[in-house]
Amino acid sequence: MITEWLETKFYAFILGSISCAFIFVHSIFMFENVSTANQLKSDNPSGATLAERYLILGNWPASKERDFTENTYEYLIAPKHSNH
Amino acid sequence: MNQRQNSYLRIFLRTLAALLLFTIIIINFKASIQAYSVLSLANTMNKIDENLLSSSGLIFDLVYFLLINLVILVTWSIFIVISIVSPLLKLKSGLESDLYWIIVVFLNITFAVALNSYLYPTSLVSYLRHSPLTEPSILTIMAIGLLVLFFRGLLRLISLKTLTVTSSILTVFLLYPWLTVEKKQNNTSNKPNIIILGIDGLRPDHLAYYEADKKLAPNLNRLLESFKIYKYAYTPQGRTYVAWMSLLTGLYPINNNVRFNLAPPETINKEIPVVNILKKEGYFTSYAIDERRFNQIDNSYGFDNVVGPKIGVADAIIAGFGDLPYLNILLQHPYSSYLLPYLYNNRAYGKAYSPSRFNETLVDSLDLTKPNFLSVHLCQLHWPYTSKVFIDSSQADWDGNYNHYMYKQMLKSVDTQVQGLFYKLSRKGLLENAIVYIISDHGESFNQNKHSANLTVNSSLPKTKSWGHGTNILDQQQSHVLLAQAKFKHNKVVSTPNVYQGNYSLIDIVPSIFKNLKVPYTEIGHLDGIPLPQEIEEEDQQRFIFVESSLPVKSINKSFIDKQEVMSETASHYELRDDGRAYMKLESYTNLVAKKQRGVYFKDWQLTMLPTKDELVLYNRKTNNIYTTDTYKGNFNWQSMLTALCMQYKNDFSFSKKEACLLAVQQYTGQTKDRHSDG
Repeated sequence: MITEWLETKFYAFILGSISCAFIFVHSIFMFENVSTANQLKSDNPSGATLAERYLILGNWPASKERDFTENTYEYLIAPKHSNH
Repeated sequence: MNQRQNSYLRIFLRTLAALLLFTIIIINFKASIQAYSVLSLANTMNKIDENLLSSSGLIFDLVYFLLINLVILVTWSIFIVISIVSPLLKLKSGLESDLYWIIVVFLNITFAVALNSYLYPTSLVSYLRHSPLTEPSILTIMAIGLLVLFFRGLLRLISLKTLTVTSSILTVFLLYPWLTVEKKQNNTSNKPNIIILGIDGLRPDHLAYYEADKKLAPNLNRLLESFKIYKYAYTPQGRTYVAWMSLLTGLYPINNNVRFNLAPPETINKEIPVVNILKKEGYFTSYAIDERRFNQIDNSYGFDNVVGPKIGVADAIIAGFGDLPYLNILLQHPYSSYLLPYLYNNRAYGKAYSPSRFNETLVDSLDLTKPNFLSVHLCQLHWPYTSKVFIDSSQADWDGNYNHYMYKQMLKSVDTQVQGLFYKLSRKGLLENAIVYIISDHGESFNQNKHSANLTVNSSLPKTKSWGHGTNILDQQQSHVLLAQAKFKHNKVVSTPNVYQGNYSLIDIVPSIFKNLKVPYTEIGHLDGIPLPQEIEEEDQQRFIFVESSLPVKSINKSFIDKQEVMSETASHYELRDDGRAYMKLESYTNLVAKKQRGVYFKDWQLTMLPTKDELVLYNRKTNNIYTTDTYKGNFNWQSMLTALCMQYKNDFSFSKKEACLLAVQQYTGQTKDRHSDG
């Protein structure tokens, strides 16, 4: 009986852990995206970099191979080509 | 209802609630990383006109969209409930059952997000895009796992025989759009297919015949090497709908009365002679375009077949809300053209737009038993330059000009799309006997210094560099377009390539079609265009070509187009009607015509009349010098251009009041009377 009780608890623990793992994975990646988006934000409402402007236009600047939210300083929008 | 059914019902409702919660979480997640939410756009629209959102057509479209979302979530919930009917483990307690249910729900959600991340990396909800979960092998394992769970559950509920029959029928139903036998055109008439391929915003100076880098558009450049190219071709107006209506009617906007995008329908004659005549000649007529926000040509214009997303104001709203994993995944299937008509094959919903899928939809819609008249317009080069996969960028090309940089990247994409389209057309036999025109409807300006004209007098002359298109006819990059033609036999170009140096217009295409098909002029009526010359000797160098501007909008004459700013500036000119579409208000239409720039080209010169200036502006495209007619001291006789411009627009609102025109019209009328009296 104790063995049965332990077995039940063990299975519940495993299933609970798997559920938590799912929540954890989703949360981590969502948080990472939000954090990256916040890092991209500048004072310029139209976007100061290629990646920021693309994001403002409603899309994430990434291909399968690469994420263009890194090294954004290489793609600064020139002030004369900015609205601000 | 017995206990088991009660239990399944409870699980179904619980699952539906979980999926709705997931949807809400996703929407909030998107809002946290986006600058503007869709609701803020709708809010802006509400502030401008309280009746703006009261259109029954718009309400229907939005309700239909919400209903489809609900149906998808209900179907998904049923799938999950069936998946837990036969668990993989022996579940001894209620807690274990609940936890098992949560895992299956999470597995489904994870698969949906991972698949969305794999298919559409630029989707805002593809947050798993760089995780191992998007590896094809992992996705396959997840898909197989989910299907195994589902079919295990289904076998517990129905017999194997029923399951086999139902699955087979469902599989055939779902795969049917792709289970087509490859057919070729069987056109027994000798009439050639007529194909007009438009590429939105394509600038000739980005193509090799204007000495641009060939690598920008290698396929187009290779194709154009064998085409007749009309080097100095202009659009009557740098706006898609207006340009296409001028092209299809062979008339300038002043004569076909289509003066703006979204023109009120009561001002337009939707009878397009070339469509009607070609239909009588046995043609199957098609119009295809992959974005509908500013071009309203549909079946009511006489075409047998129209391909593209649905037209309506709901487009912008649904595209904002539509970025959800299960909706994006559904767009892979052709049936979503009925379920999600605003998102399927919509270039404006760039994150899920597949150029090859659009090509396929288009070519599969053609009638292979008849000659085809196909007008197709591809819009990947239109702002905001978004796509399913982010550009393959080269940092070396970056010069700080976002619009121009993205434009060049998307040029590569549309170049690939054109190559794909030609390949499909040839596979279907549509280039066995065809006349093909490749055009652009307008150019695009990127406020580049090198395109500024040389001011010869003073700096009060208007700017010749600007942003966008349709706003400034002094900016040559806006009105200068590609116009090329070739005859195909057995998939090869048989006409002699040439580059013609005269001035031409998009209105010359329909006269050319009629000439090629030997349609008598008595059937056609008046046309402003002339048939395009086929030999250099046929060129008419004494021709006037007219160009006019569109709605002057300050908020689009910028590097970054702020949707809310545009809406604030322009919404007062538009109204939403019960068909769910936006149209320019009639009173605005009349007033805004008065604010147009009007210009004429003759040889290498352009003469422009501006609404805000009394001076006439003279520009030479060879020297890039700009003058006013008061200060021009050269030998060129611009007065003939003024006369032509005035005669063209003499009945236009406010134009005839210009003093310069009154004099020119009097002189012209006097000369005409003298010629008549001389006999």
